[in-house]
Amino acid sequence: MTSSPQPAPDVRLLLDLPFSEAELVSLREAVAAHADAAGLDRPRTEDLVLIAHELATNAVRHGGGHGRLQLWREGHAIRCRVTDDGPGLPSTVEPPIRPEPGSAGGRGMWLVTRFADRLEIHRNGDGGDVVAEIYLS
Amino acid sequence: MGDASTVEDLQPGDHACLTFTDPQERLDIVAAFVRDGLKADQRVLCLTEAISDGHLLGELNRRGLAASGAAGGGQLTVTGSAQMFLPDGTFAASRMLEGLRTEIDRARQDGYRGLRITSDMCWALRPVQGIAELMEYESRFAQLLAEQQATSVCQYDRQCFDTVTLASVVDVHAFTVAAVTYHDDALLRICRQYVPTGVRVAGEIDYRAIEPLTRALTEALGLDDHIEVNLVDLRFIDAVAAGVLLQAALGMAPDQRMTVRCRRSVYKVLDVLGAREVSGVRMMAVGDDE
Repeated sequence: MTSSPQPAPDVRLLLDLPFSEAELVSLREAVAAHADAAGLDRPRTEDLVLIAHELATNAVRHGGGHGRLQLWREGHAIRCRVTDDGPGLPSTVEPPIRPEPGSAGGRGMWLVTRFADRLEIHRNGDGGDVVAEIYLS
Repeated sequence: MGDASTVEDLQPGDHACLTFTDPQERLDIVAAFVRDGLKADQRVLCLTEAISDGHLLGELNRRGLAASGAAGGGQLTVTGSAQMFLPDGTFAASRMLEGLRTEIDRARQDGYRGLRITSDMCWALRPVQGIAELMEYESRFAQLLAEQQATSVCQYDRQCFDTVTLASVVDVHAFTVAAVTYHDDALLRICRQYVPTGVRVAGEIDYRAIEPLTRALTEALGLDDHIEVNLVDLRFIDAVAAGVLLQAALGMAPDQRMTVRCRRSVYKVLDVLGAREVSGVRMMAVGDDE
């Protein structure tokens, strides 16, 4: 008996949202609502909202003005992926270094690095593609 | 009528109204009004309704005023609005004005440089006899204040009074007092805080509001050497807005200080970015429900 490929049973898409600058606020609200419904506690939901906002802001400001956010639950984690058509993150982002308090920029990715339990920065030369993961306790 | 003013610009003889939606902002302006009266050796009469007199006294103390001492010494009186406006459960404009004239005279006899009065007017929402005299009262009160060189701020809660009443209220007061506001929309409000001097940011802030945030912080640091950045009602701050706050703190003169009061989530963002390492900055986390 043959079977068609099925998604892994413990993967569930929560949100798939194209966005531009005008949607940043509703994007934060949507991420918070879905993370909360998935059982993430409040402090970690706030962390995830910040991560989603910073990645989306990067797409809006440096990645061509718009992007796409996907949020899904996978096993005991919530994964947030933001893709855009921009040049992608510069390689200087790794290894992550905390910007000086007075520095002009770099704070967004530092916060994402610190708030995420795991971070994947894909550099395939085809736009920005970052996946951040937060563990459900 | 109803010219915009700030609470600190009020002079003897002025009759102002404060129409507010945010209880914290109301308390801040009332605190500034009380502080300026105490400083000017005036007697201050605070008539309160939405919050108890004990609570109001506590709020004034918490903002750094020596309110309990002033109350003990007779310079400050905090009491219920209804007690003064509705002594027998009904309102009578003439009786009330007579009572206020007596208070003004007594303040002078006791050696104070006049009287300032602030009243929470939400007693007027009660279905009391005589309430039709409210506008007559306000208009005659304005004359009394002008003649006697006393000062008043009448507080009207926008969420309780209907728009027609509010429009009449603004008309009958020579001034409306409000906080200096740098940004105000459904998501974010940035305004000056008067007591203690500083900036109040409420709602959610991101990179799109850095211009008004920068202006608010620069002006506050120009007014005082120790400012409070009140972020207690701020639910979200992004990296760029947090960066503006850090840069303002780093730009302080060596004798300047900044106290940042914020929720745990905002505290975490500022902390991860190094706020606690900036000289002169004091960070205070408060409960989310405070």
